[in-house]
Amino acid sequence: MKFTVSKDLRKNIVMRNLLIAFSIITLLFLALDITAKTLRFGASISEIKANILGNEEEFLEPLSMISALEILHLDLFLAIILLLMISSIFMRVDAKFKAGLLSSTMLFSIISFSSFFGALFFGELFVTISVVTFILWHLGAAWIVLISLIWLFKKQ
Amino acid sequence: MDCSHFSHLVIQETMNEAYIKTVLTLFSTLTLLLLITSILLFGTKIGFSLEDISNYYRGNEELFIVKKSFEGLLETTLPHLFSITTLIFIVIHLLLFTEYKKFVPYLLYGLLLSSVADLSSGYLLVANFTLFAVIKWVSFLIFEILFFISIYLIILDIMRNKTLQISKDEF
Repeated sequence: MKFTVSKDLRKNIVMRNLLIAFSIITLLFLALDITAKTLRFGASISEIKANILGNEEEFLEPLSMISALEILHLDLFLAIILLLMISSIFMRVDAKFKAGLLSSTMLFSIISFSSFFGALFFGELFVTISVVTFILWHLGAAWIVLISLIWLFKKQ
Repeated sequence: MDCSHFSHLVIQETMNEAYIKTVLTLFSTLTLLLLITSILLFGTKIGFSLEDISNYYRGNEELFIVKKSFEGLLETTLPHLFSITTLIFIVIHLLLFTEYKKFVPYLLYGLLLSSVADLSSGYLLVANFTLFAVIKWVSFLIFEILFFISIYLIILDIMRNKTLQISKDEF
């Protein structure tokens, strides 16, 4: 459990390289997650609304409760692991607004998941909120990873 | 004596404390959401009655429900084995830093046993051991209750301002 007890992770070369690799793969994951969701639900708000809520004119069925819950269940688990891992690295970084950036990212993720579920009952407004907060929490997480990467590359 | 260095340390310590509290509170919220989705999934996909559980796994010709295949069960079990173990590890290791660590053995064994019973009872139901519908239902219920208790204890500890142990000892 060296990772949890080291104060400055950069002192250990292996740990530093490991965290750099982890951060790069996390960035890749965040980018691919957005890509996968875009391919699944569409790139514009109207497309996403049609795919989630259904559209009679385009003969699109609304997303079933089971499908929505399965998507949420998996995404929530991945978000928990990802946010916990990046926050434990980010904790060591000397950055301004550290707590603010992380808490807003986590809050956006909570709002995104809740409103995605809410969209099934309350309609279009919740889809918009879910999409906006989904992009915001991904951007926030990417920003945290980038700051951590810069800190890891910096010489002490 | 120049105290600026010490004041910087105090500020750093306070920042870390705020940071840890934020991370833990939001982590607990996300985990609660995950638990809620698992209950809702259980309810919508399987159903809460013993008959629903039995029908879901063993199939029912009258209701046109197909019996679960070994492959289908494995597809559910595999990711859950990894994810449940990871979540139990994270939550229990956080509980070790709280003043409620005396409950950790009970919670840990309870969570592990109930999750194993929950995941394995599906296979035994398919193998026509109808009694395992009860075990599936009870183990799922125990798992959810114990997980809620674990999260509740973490939140309670954050509210009682006891999380400093983590920042002082580890960071």
